[in-house]
Amino acid sequence: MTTLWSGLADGALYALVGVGYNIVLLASGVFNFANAQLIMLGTYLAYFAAVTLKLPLAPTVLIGAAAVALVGVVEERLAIRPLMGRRDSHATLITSVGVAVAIDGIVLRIWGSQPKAIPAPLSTKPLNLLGGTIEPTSLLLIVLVIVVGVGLHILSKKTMIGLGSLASAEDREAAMARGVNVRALAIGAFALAGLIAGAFGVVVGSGTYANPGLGDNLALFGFVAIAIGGSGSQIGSLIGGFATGIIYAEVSRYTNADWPQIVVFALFLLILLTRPRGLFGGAVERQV
Amino acid sequence: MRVRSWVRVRRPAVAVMAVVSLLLGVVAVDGAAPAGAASTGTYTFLYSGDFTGATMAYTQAEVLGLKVAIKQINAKGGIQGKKVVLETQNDQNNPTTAVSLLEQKLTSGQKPDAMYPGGSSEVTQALLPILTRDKILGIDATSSSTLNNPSKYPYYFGDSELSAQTVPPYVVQAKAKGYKKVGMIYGNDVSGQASMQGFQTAFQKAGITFVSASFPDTAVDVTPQLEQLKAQNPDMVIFSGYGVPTLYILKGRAQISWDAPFYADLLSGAFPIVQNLPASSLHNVFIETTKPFLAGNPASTGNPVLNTFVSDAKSLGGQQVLNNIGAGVTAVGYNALILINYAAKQAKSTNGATLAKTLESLKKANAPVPWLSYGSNSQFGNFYYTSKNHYPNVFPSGFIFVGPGTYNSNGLFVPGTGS
Repeated sequence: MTTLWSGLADGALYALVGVGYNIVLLASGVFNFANAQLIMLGTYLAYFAAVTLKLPLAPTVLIGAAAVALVGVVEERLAIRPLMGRRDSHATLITSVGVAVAIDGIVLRIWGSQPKAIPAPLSTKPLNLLGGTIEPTSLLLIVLVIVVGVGLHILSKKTMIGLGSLASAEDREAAMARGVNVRALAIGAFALAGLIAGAFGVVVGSGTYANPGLGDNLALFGFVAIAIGGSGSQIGSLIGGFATGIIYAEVSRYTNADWPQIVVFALFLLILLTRPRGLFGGAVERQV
Repeated sequence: MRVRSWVRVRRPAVAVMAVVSLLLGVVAVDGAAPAGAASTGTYTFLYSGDFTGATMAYTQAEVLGLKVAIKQINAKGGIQGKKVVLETQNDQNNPTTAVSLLEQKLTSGQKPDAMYPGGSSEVTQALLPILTRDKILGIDATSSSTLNNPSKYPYYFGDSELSAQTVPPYVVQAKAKGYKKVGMIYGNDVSGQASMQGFQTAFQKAGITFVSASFPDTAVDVTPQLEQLKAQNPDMVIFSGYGVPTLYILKGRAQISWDAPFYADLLSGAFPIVQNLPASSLHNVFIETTKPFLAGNPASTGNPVLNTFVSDAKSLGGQQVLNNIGAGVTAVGYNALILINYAAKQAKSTNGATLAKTLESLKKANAPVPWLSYGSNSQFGNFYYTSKNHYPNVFPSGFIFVGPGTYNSNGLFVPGTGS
């Protein structure tokens, strides 16, 4: 059961990355490859606020949320908006990769290569739960990611902003013709993804440490999470992320280091071959 | 008429071209890609390392050591009268980048006299064929035994012990405690695998059961691997990881309430554990360190060469490096140039091939020996390489197990309470 808890905790990280990918994808049709790096940046800002400035938890979370939201907005303005509307939709993917690399470099320049410990918001004494052990902060991470994912799912389906975002992602020109402010939605999406990434800095960083490799380590499995769960579906992100984490953990428990990635990517390929839109992704028309 | 005019005009130009060609030919014959081409009066030492990535802290320490050596050597006239000049290349701990950068240097005529070929076994392994091809002397501190191959890499020498050489004290410890089964958790990369194989061979030879579990370098959690190992009930566990995985191992150990004694290997032991984990996670955790760099140990307090080294390192702005990474890592950079200088004095030459041969038959140095790491009287090891061994000879008595600690202002290790 400890292994299962470990898988859920790791899966929560991948789901969090997937949720961030989907927020931007649903509102603007853009795949923001830098989202994992935004989460990494959130952990460093948590370190800065909690350790360097010695602030309590609430201001630490607020600073992280606000700062990374601002970074998201800047990313949208500089790396995404100039390329919106182009025929080649892959350009924004490439520039978002560039933003990811830039964030990696900035973090190394400011904080160096040594990992930074972030105080946990809850006790570090492991809990005995259902026959296994888990750190309280890891349990909090799992719960919060589920709350955020479900909340965003409801937002996208039941509110005008959410529906407008879906319309904008499906057909930008048609949405504009209907009076949807697509630019504001895109900016808002990047800001929201950044805000969530920054707000989670303490909870994520207290388990992973703020370390310069964190973004790269999370990015790939975050992508696998939405590929399995279905791009554009927040519920799919959650299920894809947790499934990835659990499979990886269980295979690690019973085999050696070579197998977990093989098994996860075999599942990824299976989903792509049999259900390309993912388990919960929407059907997409194509010309024949 | 026109032909004669042409000949009159062109003849002086042809003569000039002939003279220039002759001069160029003389230069070309005098050694292809001349070493330190820009300055015949200097000895160029090239350091290849990671200046901007996850391992840059170790680079800073090694470069500091080189700078201390350069300061001391140049103050006494340089290597065989040649002032030592340090050049660097940022290989970002990437073998492809390292090879590309070195090849660029060589094709542009900037062949170094010697070099430090990388901060990891992967990078060094990629560069050694070039060093061999171009007869460039190389000394660094990477620890994979596959690099100790004088017949294949005649110009390469290690100035830090092989990972396999650090293993015997663990076997001695296990036997002394009566342990029947030893486990190991390690990162699944070249260094981790080499470390594991060294331990596996040694423990199996000693008749102690050895079990292991590995994790990828990209892991954000190693609790499943720890669970796998715990299920096999080892009496003691050795852990190996580079950077943050070391912390994941100890954090996961605390989460599953596993109090078996955990021993860091050389790689994990060099990582600043204490600053990043609560004391409760460090109960029954030990690291292997070396007596020459242990605070309060006679091997460190009684070494005038170490004292001068520390003083010079501080004068070059290295206080933070000494505090954070320690004098031991800094010393490997220092030793590289000190050994070259010592060999050059013996050979009365700076030629790479000659120095490589000389390093295989160094004359015994009187105490205090000019290099660091193995005691002022070589009581814990030495750098007396042979034609069959290009790594230091290390004695188990030089190692000691202590609790994870910190470095003092002189870069010497101050143990914590691991027991």
